[in-house]
Amino acid sequence: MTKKPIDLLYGLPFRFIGLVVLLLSLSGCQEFIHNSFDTFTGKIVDVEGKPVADLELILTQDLDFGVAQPPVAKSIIYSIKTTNRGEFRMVVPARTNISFNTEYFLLLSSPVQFELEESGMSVLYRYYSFSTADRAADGTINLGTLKIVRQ
Amino acid sequence: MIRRSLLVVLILLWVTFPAFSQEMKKEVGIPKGQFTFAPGAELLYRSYEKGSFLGDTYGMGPGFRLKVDFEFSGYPGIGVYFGTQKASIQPNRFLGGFFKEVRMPESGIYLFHQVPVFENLSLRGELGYGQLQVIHGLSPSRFILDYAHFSGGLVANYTLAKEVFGIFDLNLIIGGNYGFLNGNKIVINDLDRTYVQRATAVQGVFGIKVRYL
Repeated sequence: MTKKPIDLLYGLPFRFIGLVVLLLSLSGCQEFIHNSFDTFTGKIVDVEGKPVADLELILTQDLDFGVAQPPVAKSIIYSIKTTNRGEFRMVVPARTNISFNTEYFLLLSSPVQFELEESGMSVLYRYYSFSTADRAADGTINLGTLKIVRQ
Repeated sequence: MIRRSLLVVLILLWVTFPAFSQEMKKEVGIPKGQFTFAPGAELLYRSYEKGSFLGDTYGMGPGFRLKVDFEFSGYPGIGVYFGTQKASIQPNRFLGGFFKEVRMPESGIYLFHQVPVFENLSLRGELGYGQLQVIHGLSPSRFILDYAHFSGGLVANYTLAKEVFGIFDLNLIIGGNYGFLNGNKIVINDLDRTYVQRATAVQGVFGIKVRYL
């Protein structure tokens, strides 16, 4: 059965509205914040509180948590070394909070582990996870002083 | 120091152009004050100074620019342009390896003043302002950096054919300009701010222009 011209016309506004909604949704789901970089900074110290220089740090968003093995980075964003003062700085394009991809991992490649506080207890991890939700006005996310333990 | 010298030379040329114009206006075929407009297409190559984010992060390729001049003959004119340039992303410590492709469209406006030197050759000074966008990736995973681009340059304009069909002149264009880029909208930590936000660029253009009489 052929449609009358008037029936075809009825569909046009709805198609237009659908297109507008689609475009708005796409623009609202942007993964990155334009003109904005996040900067992760921090300092690595040993158990005595002394800065650890030349320690290799891997930044990743893709950790493989295998059974009975240390987690492995499936893809590496940056691999850097700490400065003489144990400090590090890494810059990435800022992601929006609705991008569902705002979690990063700092992974140690050497046989060392982060000593983190959990419920008043010291726990050893090969990685340190953090989110970009709390960034400063200039995009800096200060991870503070992270303590490592050599095995 | 070199930047400042270049800037001074460009400003001097710009300021002294009207004086040359008074001497040479007799050679102009078009009566003074006649309105003309001139669309043109140019191949361009722009290189950013090393030691800045734009210079170190992107490998630049050739590009193109479409432009239209509007002027009353013998007076300074105004023009608009749109262009883009191919680029590739080099290993860097800012983009995290998130993107494979980048585009660099730019649109803007410029003031110019053209002075005849010989019968078929004229020189023009240009002062321009444009908005450069560095667009990484594809929507919705695009990441855009905006830069304001202030530039000044010299362009030689050679008339290949006059009054074609009685309505336009066909011109060959070759020139260059020097520009400053300012990305003060970009949010980044203090230590990297100047490196990322500021850059200088040298640009060469070659193209054709049709000047409607």
